[in-house]
Amino acid sequence: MITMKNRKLLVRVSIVTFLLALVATVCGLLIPGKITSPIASAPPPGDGHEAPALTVLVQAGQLPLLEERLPDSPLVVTPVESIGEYGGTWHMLILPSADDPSFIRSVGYENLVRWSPDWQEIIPNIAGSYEVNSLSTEYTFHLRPGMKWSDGTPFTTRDIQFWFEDVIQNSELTPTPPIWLTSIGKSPELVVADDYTFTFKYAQPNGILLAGLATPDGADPNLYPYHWAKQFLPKYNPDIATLLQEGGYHDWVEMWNARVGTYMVGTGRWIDLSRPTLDAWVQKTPYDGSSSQIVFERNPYYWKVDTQGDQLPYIDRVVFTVVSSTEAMVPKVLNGEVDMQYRSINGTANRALYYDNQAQGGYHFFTLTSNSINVMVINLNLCIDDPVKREIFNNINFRIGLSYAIDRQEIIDTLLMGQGTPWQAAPLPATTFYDEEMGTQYTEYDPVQANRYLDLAGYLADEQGRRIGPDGKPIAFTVEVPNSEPALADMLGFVQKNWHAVGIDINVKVEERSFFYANKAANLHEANVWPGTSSYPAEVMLDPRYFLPFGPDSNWAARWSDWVLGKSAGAKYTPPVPIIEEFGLYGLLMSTADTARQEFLMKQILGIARDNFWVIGIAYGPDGYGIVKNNFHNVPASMPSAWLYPTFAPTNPEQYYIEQP
Amino acid sequence: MKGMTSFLARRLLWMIPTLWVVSIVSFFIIQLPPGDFVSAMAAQYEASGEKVNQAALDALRTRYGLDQPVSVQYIKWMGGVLHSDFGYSFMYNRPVSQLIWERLGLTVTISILTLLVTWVLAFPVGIYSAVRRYTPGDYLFTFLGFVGLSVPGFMIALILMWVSFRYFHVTLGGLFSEAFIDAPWSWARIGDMLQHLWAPLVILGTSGTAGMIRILRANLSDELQKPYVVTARSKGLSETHLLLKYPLRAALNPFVSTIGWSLPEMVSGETIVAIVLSLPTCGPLLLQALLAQDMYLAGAFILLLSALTVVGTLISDLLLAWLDPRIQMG
Repeated sequence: MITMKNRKLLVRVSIVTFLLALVATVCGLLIPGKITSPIASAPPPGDGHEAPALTVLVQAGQLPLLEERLPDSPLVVTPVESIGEYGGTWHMLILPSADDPSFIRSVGYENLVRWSPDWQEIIPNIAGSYEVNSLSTEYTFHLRPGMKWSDGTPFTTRDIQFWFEDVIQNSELTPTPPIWLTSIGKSPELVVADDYTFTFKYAQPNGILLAGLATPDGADPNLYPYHWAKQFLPKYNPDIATLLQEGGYHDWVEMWNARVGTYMVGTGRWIDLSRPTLDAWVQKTPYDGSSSQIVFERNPYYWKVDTQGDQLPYIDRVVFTVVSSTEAMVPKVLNGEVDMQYRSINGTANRALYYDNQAQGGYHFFTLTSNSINVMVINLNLCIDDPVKREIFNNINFRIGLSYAIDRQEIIDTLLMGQGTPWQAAPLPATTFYDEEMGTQYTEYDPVQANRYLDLAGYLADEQGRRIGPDGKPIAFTVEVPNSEPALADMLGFVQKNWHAVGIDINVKVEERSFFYANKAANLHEANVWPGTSSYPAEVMLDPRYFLPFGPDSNWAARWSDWVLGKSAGAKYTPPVPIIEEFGLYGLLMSTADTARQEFLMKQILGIARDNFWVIGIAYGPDGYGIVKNNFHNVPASMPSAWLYPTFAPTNPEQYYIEQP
Repeated sequence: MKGMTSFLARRLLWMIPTLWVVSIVSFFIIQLPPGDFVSAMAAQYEASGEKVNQAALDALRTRYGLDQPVSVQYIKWMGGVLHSDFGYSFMYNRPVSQLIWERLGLTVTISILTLLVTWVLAFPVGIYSAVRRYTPGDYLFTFLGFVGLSVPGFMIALILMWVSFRYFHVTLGGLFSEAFIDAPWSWARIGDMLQHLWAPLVILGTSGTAGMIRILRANLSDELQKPYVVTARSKGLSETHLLLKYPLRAALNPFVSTIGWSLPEMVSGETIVAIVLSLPTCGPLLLQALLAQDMYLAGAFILLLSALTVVGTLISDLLLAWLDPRIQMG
């Protein structure tokens, strides 16, 4: 029985033990027993080479020898196709502002640990090896002796310590520590054993530290070179006033954000060029609107080699050309001016155009395997204030009728190039949480059934064919689409036609993104649409927004989520019993570390979602695509498409190479 | 002359409250879309599939002072402006003045060149059309004029881009080739820029030229019917002389009165065409700033454009008074 008091307890338990879920399904790390890193780094297999341009510098005395620049045991990367050739420039395109994830997804993913290219496991990266004790309360990392920053200074635990003590534990810079670092909201204790060994010690188990470190946000520990960043802290720099004055900053926090900060637009990471880095290429042009071209050049101290011992990366330079709009990028791709890219250029509409032009442009496709549960999920707002609409939307026969009325195959053939399968908002086949009935129920195009269910719902049609609601008026409502998703607006056009045929009229409202979000937040929307979430087991449990009301992104029942979390906005919106059941199960899921039990509970939740048919889906697939030139090698033919796995960085861009003439 | 001085003084004094009201209105309008810069950026990231950290967003919001009421933000901004501190752009984390200044040179250059191209083309053709009305030449220019006038600039830009790619395998866009983008200024760099500039000049010039030709043709033909022209002809003045001395001046009236507005247009540039062609000018920057609710950048821009408009209108009026002795000030 869920009362007010133990609802709050449930909520607290959910939130604070929230993290345990990720561990089990991602890597099964909570199986009792000590964990060690899967691959130990091997010593370099012999005498390796370096890029010719670097050899010139070595001979001129401007750079130390290769053996001195590499760590004692560099990371060995196995090339996808073959050992590469040094040289060349990799051209990509970027928007004028707020496109910094482009950097992270290509040249900026060097964390302590990382995802394997197939996203199936976590492997060492900066850390040569690591151990986790059986309780998951102690994580020990071993760095690589001899590894250096891009300016030649050694990378040691001093840098990790600086990050931990002076950035994370400094409340002015970090108001809340990252979730993956904490366990029950508490930060660990950092124990530094020597220059290359450190341990995080937790009082309570932390199941997701490794996974958190492998996500893009997990780059934090190694983004703050002590020897460079200390000049920006009053604690280390008594003369900081001079720096403040030179830059015209009002206080040191402002200067920190402008020069050292790493989060979102306008912060220092991609703007301040004096920052040493561990990435394969070093930035030479700031991304601050001052140049139409962002250039990265090879890092002479990069600490990875190929299987022959040759220092990576193969490619000399990476150049991002600034283009004002995504449409203007298309001719450049067609003309072969882009060497390898997917972001901003891979709209569904352009696929045929690129396909026809492959021979002339000298490129081919690579596949981005999307396992999004749906291309579009239609959310009827079950918490809407209007009592008439609330009654209509909450009627399950109404939703079933609407679902049967949609001709999904027509949408697939017209808008998805014939590639797709009719599907509800459910995890995809061949994934852990696949439930065939949940995915296929009510997906047949059957207007007769549709009419039957709408009649069953009690909304009969009048002489003109419009169905009348409980208030005696024809049923009509608005479905909102943000203007950033034109594909969804097109699909809604078909849905509108289909629903009109069974007597339900909708108004498709394409609106500016900020209005879409504002309406959503204020619970003013009658219905809206959004793409589906991922089927990866970790994400199904971490982001179950379409299965139970999970925060503001559950467009179909955000207020029920507020009610459960005890927020004032949700006070008047008592959810129905199945929702309460789902939350009960979710709370249990959060508080167990047993993989099998977690999966069992999640399947129960999915079963309730299936039976109650909260939202309506259209189809899954097709896969996305990217463009790669024919002379650009070592790119895998397909890779997962996601953000937590920042496509395409985990496929080892440092071993991409360009055929030299 | 006394009337002129007092007129000038009055106009200059009126500029101050006008600009002040404009600054208030524009600052508030920039804030009108729901949310603020931080939420606009977060929405943009989410739309491309990245997940954002709510706590970090809230911290940013406090940092930028976006959680304070709009009036407080305005007062802070105005205070800065009066000390010639136009604030920082949130998007680029650089002083607004720096961002605008960087692009100003280029924008003004393109605008002035476009204006020159337009005038150089429009005047002779307009005069010809007026004097030789209903001849085949006139019909041809009329036709071209209507095409240029009715087809939007960005449409011409897109067609030009397509033709250039399809038949010449050259992608139009940008202002420099890759080699010259960050190179220091040299004759080679200027040459490269001119090679890229012809496209924007043609596109932007086309619509402007068309408009001018039609107006000039209409006005001049009206003037040429007037009695004083007949008188002058009968007194023995050559056709060219009598054409250029009086009727042309009268026909220029509408141009000069709108010349003032070319001043702010010089700065904002032609936004849509600049976006299509990826030109690093002021127009696209203003659009981005407005979409992202980058308050200080957008606010400074609008203030600058308003000031230029007001000044430009004043210059227009003065020019008109000089050009047309029939006009009296005050």
